[in-house]
Amino acid sequence: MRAWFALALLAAGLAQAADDPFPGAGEAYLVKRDGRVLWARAADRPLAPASLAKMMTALLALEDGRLDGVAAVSAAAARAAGARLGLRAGDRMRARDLLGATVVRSANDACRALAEHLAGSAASFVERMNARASALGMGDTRFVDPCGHDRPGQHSTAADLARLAEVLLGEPEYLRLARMPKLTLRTVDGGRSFAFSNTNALLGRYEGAVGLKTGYTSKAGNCLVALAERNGVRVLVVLLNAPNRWWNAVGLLDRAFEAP
Amino acid sequence: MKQRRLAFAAILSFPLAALAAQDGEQWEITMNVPGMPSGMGGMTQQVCQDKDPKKQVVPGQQSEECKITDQKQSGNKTSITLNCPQGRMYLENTYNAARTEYKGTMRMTSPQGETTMNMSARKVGACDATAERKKREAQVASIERQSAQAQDMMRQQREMQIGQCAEAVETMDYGKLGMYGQCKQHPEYCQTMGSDPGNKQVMTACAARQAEYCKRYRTEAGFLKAKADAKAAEACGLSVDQVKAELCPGAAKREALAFLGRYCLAEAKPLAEKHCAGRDFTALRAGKGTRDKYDDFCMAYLSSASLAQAPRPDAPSTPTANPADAVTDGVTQGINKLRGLFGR
Repeated sequence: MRAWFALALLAAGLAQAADDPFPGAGEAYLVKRDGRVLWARAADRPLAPASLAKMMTALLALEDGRLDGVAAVSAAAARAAGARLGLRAGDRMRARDLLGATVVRSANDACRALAEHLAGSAASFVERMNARASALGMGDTRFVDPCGHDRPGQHSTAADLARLAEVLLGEPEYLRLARMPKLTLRTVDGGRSFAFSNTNALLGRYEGAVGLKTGYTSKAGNCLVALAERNGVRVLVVLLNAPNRWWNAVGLLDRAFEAP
Repeated sequence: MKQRRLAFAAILSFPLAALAAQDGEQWEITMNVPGMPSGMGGMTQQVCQDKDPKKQVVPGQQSEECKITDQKQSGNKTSITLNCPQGRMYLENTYNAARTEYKGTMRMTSPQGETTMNMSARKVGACDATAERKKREAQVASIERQSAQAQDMMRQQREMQIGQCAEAVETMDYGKLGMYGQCKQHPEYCQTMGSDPGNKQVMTACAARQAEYCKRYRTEAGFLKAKADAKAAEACGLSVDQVKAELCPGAAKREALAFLGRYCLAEAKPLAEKHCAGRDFTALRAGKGTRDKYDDFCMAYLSSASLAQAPRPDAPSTPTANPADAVTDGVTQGINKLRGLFGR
């Protein structure tokens, strides 16, 4: 117990030790280059994660592996607000396609349908999310909604989300989806199709951009987990409540690539 | 290191000093440096001596390293003088009547100073001198090979470092100068390296490259290529801000867009106001924005200006309806007038 406490203190000290040369970049941010923290601001401050929570949803789906299964869209999923595909109650979709829509379009109806398909209900899925977060050492994270809608008690931190993003780097399927500029899906019966673009504006615009996830809610503000790779160097940027997230992401990525 | 090599040369020459020894005799020889505390500096070694005095000198050792310049035998006393690459060595041994023991002195003179060693030896039995000699010759050959390899490796490393110093200038990567780029901040490094004569060529070449690097750092192209490396600036006795102040006025005059957008926010502002209006990030990505020579300039300028804005308050999250309105810093107040600047 004492050892854990000492470790926690050490970790807190390390987080505080990171430089904050861009205090205007966002309410919280973290920049890592090849796994090393370059700069951070309030990286341990609990904030609303918005759709960055979908990274955990995607991770659980990939780890579950039942992506060829068919999910029937529930009425609750079809009613999901915010970014959505336009699924209707009763639509039957492959779990793999729901995952694609969750990652690429950040579609809440697809995300909810995927969560229900994997765990039976959104509430059960959220339990899995929290258990996995705990296992990953995301000590300042608590999920309440599987897709990141603003909910009381739901929070995460830039440091925890960076940890989650780093785990996703080991999931080739996630990376494939995250860097996909456009995607077209069909219901299982082929009756309806959905074409959409990636919500990540860095893709195709910023050299080396790979993903990983965008997020926005009124409580969370503009959020972004950006990953870019150039010449074998990998830079990860987590921005929470960052009004100018695209410009800031570009600025932070550029500077991180240039950092010694 | 040199002391050790001298001692090794001494061991190899023992059979020569023990001219009166019988063929195939095993001697135990102990050497001590006077003045060293008891138990320190002593070295005991068993040496097999050939009965034939002509075979007692290791040929390779004599011809390639140490040359005998004087050799005397008088009664129970023998003396020998050798000139080795490491210095001059004089040995004198006095035997007992039965020639089963001797005491002696070895004096070594080298550029580092003079070292004297006392020796005492006793015969401990018989041995196969021919096999021992062959073994010793093989050892010497092996050591010579390793020494040549080490020399060759050091030569290659020096050549590589000279190449890296040249590359440091071409790529404006200060780190490639290695320790040779740290002479101003850490003169002790360079003093240590310079004390080795083999490093002098590297020191000279890299010092010239470092000077060239610092000169180029103060040019637009060099500064851009160096990516405003603050550590390099420091090593050159400069600061990033100082170089920006030197270069930005000229860059603004010539509209050097790459440099301006990245490093000269104040000077770039008029151009940004004129050419970057309406460049929404997401629109640009979708190909709806202007694609011209100002595109990269605007990207660099707007991201730099955005990062330069005032810190966000530590209060809990209160997102603004229009995120761009949150900009309060002087520079960003200016660019904030550029409508549609910050795409969501």
